[in-house]
Parts: sequence; structure tokens; C-alpha cells
Amino acid sequence: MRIPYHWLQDYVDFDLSPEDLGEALTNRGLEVEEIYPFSQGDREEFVLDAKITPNRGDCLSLLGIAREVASLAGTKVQYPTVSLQETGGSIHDEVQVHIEAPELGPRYSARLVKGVTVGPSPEWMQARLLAGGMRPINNIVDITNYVMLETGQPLHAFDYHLLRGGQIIVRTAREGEVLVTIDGKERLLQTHHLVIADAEVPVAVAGVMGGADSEVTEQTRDVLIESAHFQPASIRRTVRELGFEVPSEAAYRFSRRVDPGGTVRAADRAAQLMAELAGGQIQHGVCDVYPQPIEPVTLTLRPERCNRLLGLNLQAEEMAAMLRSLELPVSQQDGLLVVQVPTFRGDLLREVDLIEEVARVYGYDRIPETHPLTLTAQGGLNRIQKLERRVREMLLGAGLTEINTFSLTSPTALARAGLSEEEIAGCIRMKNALSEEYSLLRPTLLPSLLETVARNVAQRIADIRVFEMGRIYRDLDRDMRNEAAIAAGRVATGRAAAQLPQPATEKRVLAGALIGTAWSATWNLDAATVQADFYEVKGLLEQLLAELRIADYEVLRCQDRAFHPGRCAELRVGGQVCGRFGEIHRDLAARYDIERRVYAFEVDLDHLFDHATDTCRFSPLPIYPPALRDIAVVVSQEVPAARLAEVIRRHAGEFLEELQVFDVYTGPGIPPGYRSIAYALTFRSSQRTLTDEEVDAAMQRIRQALESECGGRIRE
Amino acid sequence: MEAAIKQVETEALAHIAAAEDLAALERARQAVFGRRGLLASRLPDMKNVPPDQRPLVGRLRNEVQRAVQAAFEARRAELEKAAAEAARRAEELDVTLPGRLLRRGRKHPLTLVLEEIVDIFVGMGFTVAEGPEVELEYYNFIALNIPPDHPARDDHDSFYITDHLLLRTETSAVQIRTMEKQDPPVRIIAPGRVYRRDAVDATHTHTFHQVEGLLVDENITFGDLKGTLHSFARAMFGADVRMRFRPDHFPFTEPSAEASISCFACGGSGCGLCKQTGWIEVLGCGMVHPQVLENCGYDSERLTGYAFGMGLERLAMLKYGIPDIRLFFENDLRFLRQF
Repeated sequence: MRIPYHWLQDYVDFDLSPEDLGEALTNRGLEVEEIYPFSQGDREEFVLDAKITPNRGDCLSLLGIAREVASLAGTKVQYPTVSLQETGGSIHDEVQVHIEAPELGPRYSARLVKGVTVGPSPEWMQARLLAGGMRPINNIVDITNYVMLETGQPLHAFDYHLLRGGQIIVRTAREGEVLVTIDGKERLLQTHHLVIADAEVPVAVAGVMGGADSEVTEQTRDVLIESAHFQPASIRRTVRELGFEVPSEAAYRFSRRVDPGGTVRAADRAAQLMAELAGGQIQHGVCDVYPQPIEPVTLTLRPERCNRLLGLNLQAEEMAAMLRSLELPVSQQDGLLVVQVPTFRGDLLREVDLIEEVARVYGYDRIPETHPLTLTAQGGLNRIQKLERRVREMLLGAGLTEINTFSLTSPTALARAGLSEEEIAGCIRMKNALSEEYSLLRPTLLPSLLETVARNVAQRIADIRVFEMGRIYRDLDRDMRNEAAIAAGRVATGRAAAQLPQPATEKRVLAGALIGTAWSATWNLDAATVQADFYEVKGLLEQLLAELRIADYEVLRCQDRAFHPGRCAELRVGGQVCGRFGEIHRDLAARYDIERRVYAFEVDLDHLFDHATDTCRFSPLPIYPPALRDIAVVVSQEVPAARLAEVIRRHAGEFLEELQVFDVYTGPGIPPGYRSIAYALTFRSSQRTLTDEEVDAAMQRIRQALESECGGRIRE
Repeated sequence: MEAAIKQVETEALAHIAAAEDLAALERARQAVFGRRGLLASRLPDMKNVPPDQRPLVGRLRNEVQRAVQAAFEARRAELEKAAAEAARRAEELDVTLPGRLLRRGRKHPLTLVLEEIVDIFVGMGFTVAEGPEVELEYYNFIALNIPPDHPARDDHDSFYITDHLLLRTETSAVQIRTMEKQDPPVRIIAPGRVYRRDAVDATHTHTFHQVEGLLVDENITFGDLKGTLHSFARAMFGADVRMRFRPDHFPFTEPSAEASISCFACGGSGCGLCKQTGWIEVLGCGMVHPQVLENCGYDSERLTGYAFGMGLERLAMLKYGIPDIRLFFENDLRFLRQF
């Protein structure tokens, strides 16, 4: 809302510079974002550009602003005097107004001005319109806009002779009706859109835009002034559905509610100006159709409640004075303040709205700061939030940096990451996406992870180690539509606590990718051993499981299109697959222009958290010494290490404390297709020192078992 | 005889002096002190010395032996010292080469700021609540007092999935879900992702993060809201920070306010960060609208409460001086490693 400073002074006395006025209005909740000079010729003007919140439709006018200024300056608004000389015949002989849809169009007031001369409006009016942000057109249109800026009531001027049958019908559009609006665009109307029609066809989209066929032109002699009230939500819906990029000034005001009590006054004001400035003759009377008048609301303010909500200690009389300063009539009854809310303040619906008015006038900054006395209960993070923090710290410690990628993605991005058409079709899709690029909710973190890696590779960053803890989205509940409608109905009927389930499955997942090393410098380190590889990713996940104290898990070879066929594994916890990891397939990496090997993982954190152990119990430190033994076995490559470990554990007896691989070797001395795996074993009893004989006996059993069960040969 | 003894001394000392390292000194020791060494073979045998000369020769002999022994010890000490020095030098490292360690990863700046906020409110007795991002229109709008075609929806251009399902535009939806499930008092903060149908540029993204707070109990006042938020601002931005509240409008709070802090860069005198105003807008807040309490089945006469919400990206941009919101989602490691 543009507020021309000097124009405002026509309506209210105040002693504030433009800057001070801006500050004062901002402190009242009418945020002045910018003040700029707007001088034309020798007319000096300053414009205050204020952001009006959606509840204050009444402040989309200079008189509305003037009411706020009068309240803060302690003065009164000087409303323009309207004195009409109705020199023509009765309007009722020439115009009939019918309202067929009073819910959408509760009131319609019309005036008829005859014999106008259409031409430019006076310079002072043009200057004011320009300062108010409107383009001058001709004197008739300018007057309607001028009165709108002044009173907030949008007006429309019809060329009376272009209205068939002298009739105005406020009705919904009929099936298939079309109207060309004054911007030259054809609008196909739907049957719930409110229109203004003459005896035959629509001549305006009510409250939104007039039709081109009935607009005022230089040939116009007689003007019908429309001053109406329309239901705000209906106007907003119509604007949206008819595809207006921005609502017209009129529609903007109507959608934020215009004073239903102000239609006649605005029509009169416009008629007066048309008589003065366009030489028109005002016909006698107003056509004012208002079948179900909107009654002013009566609210009761309990001063004690007001003080208790704000944390103040004001007298009822002080509150009454504050409300009266805003032109709210207040009477006192039994210590209560009874307020007849004028129709221009449609935002005041409940007692609490009056309390806000008291707070606004009193000044938010004068309300003393206190602390709630009830802050006694323990706050904190829940179990999942604590686990999340633990996982994050663990990954940071392992040298991975946290990333944050968009949950919205595109079919192309998912296809690039190798998802099938079927998988993509199963994603949750926005029905009004801004572009394909952000049209789907991601079903996996891998695509955005690879994009992040690719972006960093393109920046020639050598070591890329990243992770993301985020949500993936699946399984939209299509039936929720009904429940939502039910919920809306419950609110409408005042029934509370709907308690509806989540509309979709949103899983917490963790994904990460590794290229290169975590070492800050690698000089004199063996390059091959410090670079990330499959076993580092596996080690990371083992560490994660240890952090969550999950002992029951398995790692099995698996196949996944995203991964190298021989270097991919799945993680099972509690018998259920809950993650994949390995080396990203070279073909897939190539699609992201990544030439180096990328190691990646994605795991279902919700599942891991379900299986995490929260308690930690102390076990006594050993008091007897360990017995250490090494063993190396040459076995076929076909025998997995897990099998060897299982055999060793099964035959080691009760005292095997730890089993560690310390070498895996192929090469000279080992036949092709075979490898040597060396283990370090630690035996210990918590009861006594073990004898060499019993440890050697265990080792003998292990040797035999490795030979007989795994086809191994023990290296001596 | 005397000259011959002196000659032995001279030669012995020359042997010792010629030894350049401990190994050579050992060879010199054998050549001088050995069984067939210089001293044993070349010094006169006392048996062959005439008795009258024996005191003199004996004295000379002893002097030479002592002198040679002393020279040997001195040389050995010298060479040992040199050897130790050489060994030390061989161990010496170039302390100016770069250090080497397993580099720790960095937290995302949004996580840093979020954890700071969460920890402050947890310290005040709040718990952390979460809710779905795919949300019902009911929770996102209707229960929050924003009916269909309410003009407040202009500020919440939403991504719709079906007619009544959307991506939440604010984490306030979590307020409703929490109050439906929990009896008062309620004291939560709700962080999370929210979505608005905005094109991506330096100050807008379709996805961003919010932290909402809600406290509902008996006798909660607007003064309490101011006090709580000022305590938060002091913990977050410094003990001297001042706070300003101005009327604003949110359909789910009444009265509603917008809160600014005194600029932490200039202290309020005006600078580029605060656009010369001395103030920085940080959050929106207000007293929970009684209709919202009623929508959750709460008694709006007995209970009052406050709510507030802030944008994480905005706070992180202010705190770290980040000019472009897109940096948070591009995940360039050169950016992330700065925090």
C-alpha cells in the first residue's frame, strides 16, 4: 500500500516527518518498508510503502491509514464531506439491480451519472494516482480509482448504454459463459464464479475485472457506478482459477475484505467527483440492494483477561480509551467493555482480537519481559534424536562431512541414478511443481549423494567424504484425501482433536560416499592403503553398528544395479535387509563424469534405531594373562572369510576371546585360485591362567577343522 | 734412551690424533696399548735398563704412559660426543613439513545453528518434537486457523500432492499434532524442513528449515513470550543483545509479533548487515490463537500459550555472513569445510 504523505494530511492532523510517521506506523504493525520522494512538477510528495498484513484489508485505503494515524497522534480523522446535487431523474426508472447469489455478492449499490464528458482528469488527481501507484486513464476511471485509494472501496464504471435492459444481475456464471476482460483476455467462467451480468450476458467478473464490451470510452455519456461487497474467499478463488498472475487492485482489496457498510458512501463520493470534474448530472437516488445485511459484531472484553494474557495491569478505562482511539465504540457494563465493532474492522471477531488492539495501541515494547513460572519439567532430546546425534558425531570422527540435499528431485535425476521407470512412477509427485526439476520426493538418497560427489569432483577436490542424514518418502496413502475432508468437517462443526495418521512413509536414512583419503596429508604414506576402498565403507558401517550396540547383523554379497557386481553387499539387522554398500558401478559413476572409484552406502536409520541397545553394562577387566597364537591357512578363493572364522570359533572352545585377520596374501608360494589368510587368536579364561597344553590342543582342533571342513592347508 | 722414549710418545699421540672415528680409535688403541703395541714393544724393558738409570727411565716411562692414556681418553670422549651428535643429526626431522592426521568431518552449518538453538531451548525445559513433511491440509492450514482461500495462504504458496495433501509450509503443523496427543502443559520446539513454491535464487529456495516453538499452560502471558525469546537471543547472539517486538499478523497467533534483535555486527548504530536500521528481524511469534487451542480440544479459557518460529537458513546466513542461500544445498566441500 502506497501512502502519499501530503495526501494523507488531507484526512488527519499529525506532526510527524515522513520518517517518523513510517516508524510509528511500523510500530503499529503497518510495516513501512520504504520511503521515497515522489515529486511531479512543483507538487512535492513522499510515498511511504507499507506492507499491510492480510487481516487489515481496512488499511488498504488512505482513510484506514488515517484512522491508525489519528489513534497514534491523538487526533480525529476528517472524513471528506460528500454533498450531492441529484439533479437528474430517479435512477430506479432506468436501472434495476438483482442479487441472485447473496452469499457471494451480499451487497450491490449503484449510482447513475449522466452527460459526462470523458477526458483527462485534472493534474492534481493524476499526480495523486501516480503517487498511489495507479496509472491515469481518463477522468471517469481515474475518479473510481481515486475513491478506491481514498476509501478502500473498489468501484467500477460501466458505460450505461452498453448494459442491455438497464439491468444489473449479480449471479454465478452459466455453463460455458465467456467474458473478454478489459485486459483483452478471454476468460472461460465456471459455474461457481460470481459475475455481474446485464439482462443477457456477463459484463464483469465480479470484483475482479470488468468486461471490455461495457467499459467507459471517449464516447461514453452516461456512467453506471458499481460499488459492491463481495465475499473475500470467492474473489481469491476466482482470481486463482481464472489464471490472473496478480490480482487487480480491486480483487486484492475484495479478497482482503472491504467494508460492507461503505458502499453507498463511496458511490456517492464518486458521483460527486464526476459531477464536479466531468460535468455529469447525478440521477436521483441509489440502487442499494442488500438482502441480508451484515450486522456489526458485538464483542465483550474482560479487562482482567486482557491484563492476564498480556502480562499488564491496565485499568478498564485506559483500555476503553485505546479502543476508542481506533473509532471502536466502547461502553462499560459491570466492569466489562462492550464493543460495537464497526463493519470496516472485519478482523475483529473475538475478544482476543480486541486484546491485540490494546497491545498494539499500548505498544509491544512497553510490555515488561517476564519468564513463565512453570518451566519446571525436564526438557531434552528423545531417544531417536540422541541416537541421531551419536551417529553424526561418529561419522564426523571418521572424517565424513555432513551434507544437506533437496528432498525434491526430478524423474531425470532418478533415471540417471539407475532407478527404473516403475520405481520413478511410484514416487510421490507434486501436482503443481514449478518445474520437472523439483517435482518428485526422493525415494533414496543415492542420486543426490552422487550429484554432490560429481559437483565436488568437477571442482577438482581430491578427497570427498560426505554423508547425509535425511528423509526418504514413499507409499503415499491415497485414501487420506477422505480423511482430510473429514478433518475439515470436524473443524467446521467444532469437533476437535482429529488425530490423523501420517499421509506417507517418511523414513530416516543415512547415506555416504567416499573417494580418496581422510588423511590431511599423505606424503610418505602408501597411497594404496590410505585410499578409501570397499573395506573402509564396511569398517564404517561396523563402527556405526558398534556405536548403536547392535551385535546381531550379517553382511552378505548382493547384486544392485547401482553397484559394482562383485563389490556390493547388503546389511541385515534382525534378519532384515536394511542397507546396501560397496563400490558404485563404473558405468553409473561415468554418467556423473566421475572417473575415480566411489564407495557408497545407504542404510535405514529407523530400522537400526529400532535395534539399537541403549544400555551399557560394565564387564570386569581380565585378571589372568592371555595366550596368543597365530595361524595361517591357504584356502581356495571360493571359501569366504566368514566361513573360516565360523569354523575357527566353533572349534576354538570356550576360551577364544578375540579373532583377528592380520594378513591376506596371494602371490608367489600360493597356488593360483588360492589365498593365504592369517589370523591372530587370543585365548583367555576369567578363572585361571590357561596352560600351553590346553591352548595347543585348541589350536590343533582348529587346524584339523580348517583342513577337513574348508579344504585348507596350514602354513607353518 | 730419553729421546727414544719421547719418540714413542710422539708416535703414540700421532696414532691417537689420527683416529677420525671410534672404529679408527679402536684400531689405534690396539696399535698403541695392545700386547704388541707401541708402548709394549717400543718402551724400554726395565729389566734391561741399568740400575742407575731406572728411576729416571721409570719416571719417563710412567709419564709417557699417562700422557698417552690421557690423550686416548680425551680423544675417545671427543669422538663419542661427535658420534652422538651425528646420531642425533641423523634423527632430526624437518618440523616444517605438513602435519598428518585423520581429518575430522565438518557439521553442516545448518546443523551447527540448529544444535545451538535446540540446546538453548532444551536448557529452558523444552523437548524436541517432529512431524511429517508430507502433511494434510488440515494440519498445515485448517487447524491453524487458515481456511481455504484465506489471504494468508498467499504467503504460503504450497506444493500440493492431492487436493488435501501437501508439503508442509511451516513446522507449525507439528504444534497441532503434538497438542492432539498430549495433555497440557506442552513445551516443544519443532525443527524441520518446510517447502514453499518459490523459484530458487540467492534468497529463496523451495526447501528450507524452520524451528517452531510452542508453550501452552495456565497463565502464560505475552510478557513471558518476550522474556523467553530475549533469553534465547542473549544465549544465541550475546549478552548485550536487545530485542524489539512489533505487531504482525499470523492467523494462528493473536496478538502476533515480529521480533528483531539489535544488530550484532554494529551493536545497533547501523551497518550493511542491518541495512542501516540497527535491527535484524529474526522471528515471528505471538500468543496461541484460542481457536487453535480449541481445534485441539484444549480449554482456551483455562490455557494460554505462546508460539514462535524462525528460519534456520536466515539465522545461519546472518551468523556466518553467508550471502547466498543456495550454498547450503550445493554442498561444495570448499564451503562446508569452513564451519
